[in-house]
Amino acid sequence: MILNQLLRKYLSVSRLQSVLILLGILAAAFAIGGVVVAALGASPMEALSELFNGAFGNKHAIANTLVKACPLLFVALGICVSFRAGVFNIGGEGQLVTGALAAAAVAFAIPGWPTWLVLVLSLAAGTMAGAIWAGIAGWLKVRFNVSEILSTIMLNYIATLGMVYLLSGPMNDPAHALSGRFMPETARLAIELPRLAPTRLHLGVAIAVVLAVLVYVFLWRTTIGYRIRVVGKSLRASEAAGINPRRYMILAMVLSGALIGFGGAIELIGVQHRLITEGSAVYFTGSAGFNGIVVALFGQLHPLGAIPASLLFGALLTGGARIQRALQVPSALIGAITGLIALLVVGTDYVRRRRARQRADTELLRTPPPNCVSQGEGEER
Amino acid sequence: MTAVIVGIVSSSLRLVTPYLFAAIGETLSQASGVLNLGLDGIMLIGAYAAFYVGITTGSLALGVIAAGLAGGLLGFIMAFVSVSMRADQGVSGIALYLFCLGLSEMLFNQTLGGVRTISGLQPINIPGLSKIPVLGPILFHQNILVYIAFALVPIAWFVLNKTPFGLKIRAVGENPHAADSLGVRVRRVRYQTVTLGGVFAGIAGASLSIALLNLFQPNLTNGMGFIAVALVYFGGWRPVRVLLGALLFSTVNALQIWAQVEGIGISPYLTLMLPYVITIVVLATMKRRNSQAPSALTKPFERGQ
Amino acid sequence: MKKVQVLLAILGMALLTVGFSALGAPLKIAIILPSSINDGEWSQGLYQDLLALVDEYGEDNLEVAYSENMWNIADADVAARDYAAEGYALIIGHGGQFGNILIEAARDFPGTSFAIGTDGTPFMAYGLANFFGYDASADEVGYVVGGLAARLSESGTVGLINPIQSGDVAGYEAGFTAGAKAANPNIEVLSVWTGSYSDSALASEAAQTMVAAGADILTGTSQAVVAAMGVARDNGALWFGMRINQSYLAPATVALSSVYDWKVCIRPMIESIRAGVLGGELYDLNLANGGLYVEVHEAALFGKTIQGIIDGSINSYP
Repeated sequence: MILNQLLRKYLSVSRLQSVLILLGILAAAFAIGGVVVAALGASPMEALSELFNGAFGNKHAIANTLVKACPLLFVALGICVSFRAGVFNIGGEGQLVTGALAAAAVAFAIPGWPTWLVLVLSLAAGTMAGAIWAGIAGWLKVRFNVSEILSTIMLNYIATLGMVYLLSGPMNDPAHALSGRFMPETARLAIELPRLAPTRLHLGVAIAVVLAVLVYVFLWRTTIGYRIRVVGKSLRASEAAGINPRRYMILAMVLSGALIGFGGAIELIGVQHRLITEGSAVYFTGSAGFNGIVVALFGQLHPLGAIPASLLFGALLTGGARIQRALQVPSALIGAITGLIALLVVGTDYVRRRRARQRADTELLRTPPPNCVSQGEGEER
Repeated sequence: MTAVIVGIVSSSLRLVTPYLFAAIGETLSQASGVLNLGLDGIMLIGAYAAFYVGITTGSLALGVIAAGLAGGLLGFIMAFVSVSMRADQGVSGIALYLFCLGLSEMLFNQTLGGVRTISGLQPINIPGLSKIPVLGPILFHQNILVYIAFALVPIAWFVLNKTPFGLKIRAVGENPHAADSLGVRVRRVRYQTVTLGGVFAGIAGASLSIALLNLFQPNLTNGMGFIAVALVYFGGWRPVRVLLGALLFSTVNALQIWAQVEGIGISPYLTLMLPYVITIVVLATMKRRNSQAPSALTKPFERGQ
Repeated sequence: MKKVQVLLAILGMALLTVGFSALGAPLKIAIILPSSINDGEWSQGLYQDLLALVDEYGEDNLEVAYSENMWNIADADVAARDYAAEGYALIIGHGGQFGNILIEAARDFPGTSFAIGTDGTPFMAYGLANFFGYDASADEVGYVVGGLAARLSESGTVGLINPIQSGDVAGYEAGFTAGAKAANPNIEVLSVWTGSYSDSALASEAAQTMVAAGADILTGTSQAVVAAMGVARDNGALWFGMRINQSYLAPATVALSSVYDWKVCIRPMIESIRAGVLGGELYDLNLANGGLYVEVHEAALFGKTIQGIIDGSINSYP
């Protein structure tokens, strides 16, 4: 096709060009958004200034952006690990929910214990639950050849309905039984993450950033991380290197779920303090389980890249909501433009990063794994 | 008892139609190696297009055509992004979904302004067959889209397995480099399947907005497109098994509604889980042959690798 | 009931002409809505009533801003605090799920009024001076129309299609069932919970199943029930509308609507703030104060009979 010939001509780009293309795409998306805003009778320039205002305008806005970016970063980190192993985890929504549910259950189960201990155990429970929920999908894939795409989609629904069931019955706020109030929600948690500033900014944001570095070290500086990446790159190559791909796929899925479940627990304890739903996961997650996938790819499936990517997306969502409030335009407009930006950035990803990616691919298969050159054998038992 | 079974079966047939359109289209595009996770978004735009055109022109046929065209256009965009631009398919699908979700609600706001209803496609009796006792009224008293959806299954099977085009699709999905060296135009085939998948997803939306529910609302599909993607995996890229999966999912859903109506005393939130749980369990325990994913699924094609 | 409304309206007007003449800047109200302003139900109802209040008070005295599709609790939190920082005088969280975040925002912005509803009752226990609550005694109106449904039903079976057992939805379901049973102990009340506010396909199938089970009167709540209403229409069943006047969606099918008049609880909040009292009061929509009322739609109830008599197909004097 002519299209492809044209594309090929433009495909060799330098890093500078790549950044310029990205800026061009953002500009194009904003231009389209501006035209629509104008068509709705509002001022595009005002929209742009409110976008910035809402995302970075004052200390509260900055905090809101960071707090919004936090669950996105957790999900993106989880996605990095699973995608690097070639496992497509789209169960972020379900893993966030199960993580939060377990965290809440533990926090309510041990009321009298020291706060720090409750906090730690609660976060640990959330992490475990997320790991198990994703692990189920990994196990189904490896043991029964059930695609993780199918199982994670289904597990999202099951987790959501499970949340409605638990919050309506077993985990319902005990005070409701007395007041006669019907609301699928838990009581308010007694624990809270420490605030980093007199805003909504909580410790979880810092934890997420530290975790991003740790995930980077894990994937690029440890043997297990190396093997996960080899499995994701080529099943045949991993088998030739004596790596059991099934084991590392499950492991990647479990770790992915653990990161996302941890993120769910952090979101609950750091921001919402009480789990509420009216039938959809979005009450709690704000669709972070899906948006985080886009964020991960924005960040080139690199844990450190996920930090600025989540910030960008958090700013877009926070600033977009501000546009809706300040200009009184329909919220759907913001959703459509955010989606358009995502589509344009993802769609041109290849053009922008072709060289870098090719270099990384050849590097992975050429360089020996860190610390151990060929310990692959002897691992199978 | 007969009445109950009749009720459940007809409920299941109604529910299955949108899944079937979307999942058969997705089967074609996945067989050629492209995962389109944006299906739900395309369904939403298709549902809107069918409803809007139907209500403004008064012609439901034009509505279905509009849904097909809009879906095809979005399928083409997905193909451009994932085939020509070689973007990550899963992520570009999700991006497409987010875009369509917002766009369809905005179009709803601007052109419809609120919930309205339409008199949808009416059931058509198949002469003779609809007179069969019990089964007749269920199977042969449906709207035209239900018949088309079911007809698509053997057609898709035939196309995939018995035609040169189907051979090309599968070759491109299994081993694009070998196909390329044999002169198959890999990208063109993928463009064709993904666009066609978009057309079907658009019509799946139409089957909701002007045949089953007869209205358009934001997020009308409520995630049906994602279930349709899952059903393609359930069916192992074979149209007949995709149909069985869709029927299983819809029937369990119909059953759980019936159980609620009968008042069986189990929390509705638990019975609502059944379709999802049972789909996984059945797939995990089912004996399956030849259900390996197309080798090149989600892998963009590039010459000389 | 209409009389009460008119009376209240007159009272409101009188108060406002006295109270507002001296004031310059408009009172700014922000509403945080879980769904969109044209959802045909919950959010649309409040938004339209607030626009009506703007008409009533005049644009110079009242200003309204909305945030829609605030499904996510954390997003609603940001919106509420942002409105407060922007100087809005009253911030309404329309849905009990927003209660906790608004309580915390109310503590941080003591000079701003916050309101939560429905299901505002439990939040009054915090005793905040800048916090209003509102409730809808949907059980009352449910009881009324449930009784009517039991008497109207020819098959002896009626059906309820609801999303989640919470707030006023739970009240409506309980009241409807009780009212129906009181009117006819043998009435069968079918009930389905779809688990979702937006699953139209499931709501539609629930309606189909109920019709197949013999139900000839259906009702229910959530944005998704318009599809169920369509099923009632196609099968010659009647629909009882909820929350707003739903007659326009299917005039020959919607026999009556249980309407919420949100103005009945918002108006006193405005007056209270004008008088310098920022909260502390719980308002209820009920049959007594006209906040809830039943609107009967003749076209669906006996339009066919009238038409039959007019065109002579029914003999009214045998």
